[in-house]
Amino acid sequence: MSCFLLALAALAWGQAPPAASLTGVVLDDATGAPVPRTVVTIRTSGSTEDAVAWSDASGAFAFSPIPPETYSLDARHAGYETARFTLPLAPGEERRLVVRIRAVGSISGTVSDADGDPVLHASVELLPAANRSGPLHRSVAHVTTDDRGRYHLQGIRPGRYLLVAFSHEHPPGLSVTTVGQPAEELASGLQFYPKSDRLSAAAPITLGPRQDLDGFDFRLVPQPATSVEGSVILPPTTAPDTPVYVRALSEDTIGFGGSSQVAVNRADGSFHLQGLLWGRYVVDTDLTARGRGYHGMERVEAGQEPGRVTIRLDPLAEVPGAVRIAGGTGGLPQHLRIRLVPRDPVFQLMNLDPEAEVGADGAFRFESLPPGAWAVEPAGLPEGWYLESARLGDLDVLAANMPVSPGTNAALDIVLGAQGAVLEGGSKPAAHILLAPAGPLANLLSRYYTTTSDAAGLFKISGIAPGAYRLYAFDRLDAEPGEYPDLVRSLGDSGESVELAAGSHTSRQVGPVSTAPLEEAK
Amino acid sequence: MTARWCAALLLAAWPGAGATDPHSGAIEGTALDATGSRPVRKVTVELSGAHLNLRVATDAAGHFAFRGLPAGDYSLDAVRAGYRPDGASSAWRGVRLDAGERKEVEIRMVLEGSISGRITDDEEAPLPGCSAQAADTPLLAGRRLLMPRAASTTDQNGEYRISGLSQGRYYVLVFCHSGIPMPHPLMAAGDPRRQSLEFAPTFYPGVPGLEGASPVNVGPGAEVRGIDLRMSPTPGGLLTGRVGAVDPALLKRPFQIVLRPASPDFNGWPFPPLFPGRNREFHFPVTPGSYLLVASAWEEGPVPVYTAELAVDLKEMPPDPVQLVLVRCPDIGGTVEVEGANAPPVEGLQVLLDPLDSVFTAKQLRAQVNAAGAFTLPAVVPGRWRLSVPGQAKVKSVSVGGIQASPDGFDVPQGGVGPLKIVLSTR
Repeated sequence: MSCFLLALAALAWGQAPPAASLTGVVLDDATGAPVPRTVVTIRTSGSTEDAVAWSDASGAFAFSPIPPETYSLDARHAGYETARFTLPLAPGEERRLVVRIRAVGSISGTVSDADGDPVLHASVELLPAANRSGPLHRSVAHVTTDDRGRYHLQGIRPGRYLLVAFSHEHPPGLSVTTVGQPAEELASGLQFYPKSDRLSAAAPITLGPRQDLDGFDFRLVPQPATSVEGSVILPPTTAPDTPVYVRALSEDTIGFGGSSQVAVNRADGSFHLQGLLWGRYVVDTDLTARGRGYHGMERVEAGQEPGRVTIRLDPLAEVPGAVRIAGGTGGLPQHLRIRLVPRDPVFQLMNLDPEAEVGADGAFRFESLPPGAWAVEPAGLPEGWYLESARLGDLDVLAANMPVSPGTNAALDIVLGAQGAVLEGGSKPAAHILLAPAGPLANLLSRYYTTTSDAAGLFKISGIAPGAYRLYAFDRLDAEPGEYPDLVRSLGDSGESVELAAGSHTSRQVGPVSTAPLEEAK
Repeated sequence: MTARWCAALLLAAWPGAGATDPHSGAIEGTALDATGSRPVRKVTVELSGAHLNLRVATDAAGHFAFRGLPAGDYSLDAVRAGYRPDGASSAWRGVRLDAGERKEVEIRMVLEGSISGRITDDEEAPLPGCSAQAADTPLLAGRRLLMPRAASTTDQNGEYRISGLSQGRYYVLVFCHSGIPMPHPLMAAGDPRRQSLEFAPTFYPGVPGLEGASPVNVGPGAEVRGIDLRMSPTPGGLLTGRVGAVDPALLKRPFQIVLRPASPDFNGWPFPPLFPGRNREFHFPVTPGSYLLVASAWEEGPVPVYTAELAVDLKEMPPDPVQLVLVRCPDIGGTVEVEGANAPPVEGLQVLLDPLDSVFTAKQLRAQVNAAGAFTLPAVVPGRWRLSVPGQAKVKSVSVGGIQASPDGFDVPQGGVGPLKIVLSTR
């Protein structure tokens, strides 16, 4: 606020605000060595203007003088992950940055069939080994094999991964067929590394910085296919011409290797899903009848014997809600949305991410929510805003998930805060700073804040949601954001305890902690 | 001719044992490699016809069989990734089967080839993200045109591998579209003071055009390695400009701008186009050289109806700003007459124009001939075109504005041309 007043005062006197300066050094995150010839670009918030600097032999770069503004910065160098962050600069501020960039690596191998012939155009997907955004492993990189059956996943950040390969293109199982005789049906070949047809038996691969791993080979053998058959009990209000579809998603392969969808026979409600791999499936269907949404879902196992299932459709829940601002003053930000992230892996598989627009009066409405557990997340929040509380009726759904059932009859009350706290401090130079929520919100990823201290060891985090935190400094931080809660738990009572009030400005010193690798922490 | 057909077809017929059974026909066969000496396994052979759709895969000896077939006309297709059916012998694709008949076919599957190599800068540092393309030069309407056949993007090590190539001679051409920005203070995106290091398109083994380029021979299944290229960075600047139009209403239409080297070697190459915003300004990072700027605007449908073309010869960096003025593409009118006995009526005939250059922006144009034998081709984009009139009568002669022209390739300048006079003949 004082910066704003200062700027205003300067304008009032007809003067430009004093310029800021930005200098820095680019370091290899793993080795600490300077990285020369990095292209560092800063952009003004509206992206109307940019400036470029190259790091020199000592990794140093400089932009000065530049108008005080909020910039976005990116640092690019071949063989490294591009580092990006937002950088607010106050009038007259002389910022000395340390930019740590992470060298990437690659994973290669070959996909072949039962005879050792290469499988061309096979898909290979890279999944994080740790759960990041929830219970599900979402693919972070995808390639297809070349004309030798080789694949090469590159530009991969160091970490622990799972690999899965599959191919839909496989030759028919027979070389001779006779009209009228049933053909043997094969399902796609699929394999998790190493040699497993299900996620639960996949083994993680550890990729280090600048490491090129090879020999992660797959052998895809198309399997005899199975099927799932059954019927759907439709609500009596369903119009006779409404098309109804049923789909099957493999729980063993979390949907990789293909899902299957088929239309329901409206005469008797029956369906028959074919060409499936053996294993466990989630079979679901949804429809709208007389303006009301319905959803039905069952789990089934299919193998030698086809899976059999009857699906009953339940009405979807309607959840209205309202957004307020803490303290009750000021307008809501524009383009604000409320997003519900499914906690049930099956809904994540289905890419179900319901979102509701928030009106100018703060009202929103989810019209058709399937039963399950959801995490509440605002989207489109301006810099410095945060989710202060979320309640479904009397239930706190910020620290815990929001349970929804067909009978849910409560409103979602969301309070946003705009008066973020500021934490400034000192540590050793180029340290990774982590501010972690303490107490019941320890699992709330949006309450974790990270930054890097500058060449003088100084750091600043703004827009922090008020509350109790622990502050840590690390020489190295290999954990992914989704792993922060586990990391912090493993550190016990170390770190500085900090209590931050709304709009407060706090200073703290923090000594570096050497990180235990996360594998040991678990 | 017939002998060659038969040799290629290798079609043998046996009288079926149970000739009275209408469902005892069979189509059997073998998939062999290009030389005909080795079987190819795992070829998916698809049969369709007589309301049947069947699939089998060739076994280790290359054999496959469809049995219990009723009489009928069948078509066959053969697929295996990394192979393509030999185009020179395709008689096996259509098989007529009498009741109880058994026919044997031979399918030649040619292994596809590849070209691989490494792209580096002048300091031997790998250049990732560049596009390496294999192109051949088919003769199209009397002109050799460079046609891209397959492409690959270089990886972190600057390595590429262009696969899926049929046997032939290919030129390898490398584009690195993203240059490296030079350090500069805060400035707007289109500021002409911006400088960058750019890599001009380069043909193997390191020349800027087809002249001096070495073609790469790819045999069946050949893996041609070591087609490496060193790209020299050249200081580049920003070519800035603005699009105008004679009729301001035109500027509300969507348009795109393409910049390409002026050399005819690059005719038809898909350079990434720009879609300028409301201010109608554009900027391209360029190196010194001769270029062609082409703007196209659409009305409705996929064919551009307004264009602007500007040749620019850039020596100094940064280049002076340029202005492009959109004009409506000319309509070209003409007449059709038919010579010869039993001349069919001209009404309803279609006059087709196919673009020979800028094949990636222009589309086929067509006009209907009326009862009086007249037609109008609307909005013909300037460039070289090929004319055809499908039907029994063949094109005998074409004149453009009273001057004899070849229907296989004639030029339309920006101002348009005089009427087309097309004479067809049934003889």
